[in-house]
Amino acid sequence: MPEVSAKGMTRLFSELVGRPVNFYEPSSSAPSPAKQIYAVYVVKPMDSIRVIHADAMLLASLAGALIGLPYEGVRERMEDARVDEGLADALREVMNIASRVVSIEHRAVFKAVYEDPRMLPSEALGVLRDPLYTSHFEVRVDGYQGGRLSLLAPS
Amino acid sequence: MDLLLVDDSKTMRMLVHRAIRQAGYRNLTVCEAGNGVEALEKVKTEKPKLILSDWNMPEMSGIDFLRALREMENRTPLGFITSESSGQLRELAMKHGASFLIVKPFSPEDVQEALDPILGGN
Repeated sequence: MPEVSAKGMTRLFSELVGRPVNFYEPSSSAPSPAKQIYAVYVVKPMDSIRVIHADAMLLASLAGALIGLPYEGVRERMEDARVDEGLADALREVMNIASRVVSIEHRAVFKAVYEDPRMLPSEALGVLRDPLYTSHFEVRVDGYQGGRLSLLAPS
Repeated sequence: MDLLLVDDSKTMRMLVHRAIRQAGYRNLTVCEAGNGVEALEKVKTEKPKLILSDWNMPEMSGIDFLRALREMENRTPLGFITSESSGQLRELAMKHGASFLIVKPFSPEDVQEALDPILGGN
């Protein structure tokens, strides 16, 4: 899998939410302790699966910035047991647009977002458990909460 | 009706609507549909001058919606707004009669550039 660059991710997400979003190579590749959200993509024409997982608060922050919801509003909605539908829809759209950087060479189609990794389709679960390629990023979102984001791919 | 906006995401419909206003089209009348099936009904009842459609939607994809529209002999200009930007996809869209393709994320200028030739500027 060709390297997905922090620069490309920075450009895409900054353009998307209309404020500075910076992706960095993390100092450590240790798993994030934060609650994760998972997005599954199918790369055409091979139909190979790729998975993005990221800190829930990071993705909620990007979704909030996308729809103009201030950070306080994002935080309050994320404290509820069930994520507010408007924020969840914006989060899906963030992950949909992220399909542009999931594969550099081929067309990636966004399939779905999962909060519980046990609900992932078996092929995606296989990629999550035993990826051949991984790209990890530390992300900062101006005015919102940052976090960790990882892109996983099979052979 | 000036414009029919077709997208399964309420967020994206809101963002497109906002970008249209920011592009200077403040007085456009806009109706919305959540998928291609719903959009085919809206085309019949609302008779929009232009359709903006997502590509990747449940029930009926954007390209299937465009095919169905043309099979009905409806020639309303249709542009896609999509996160996918491959040459193959663009070629497929144009082959079926799409007027343009806007890639997400987009700016109001991108929207204006696409809409002006069809709606005649604001």
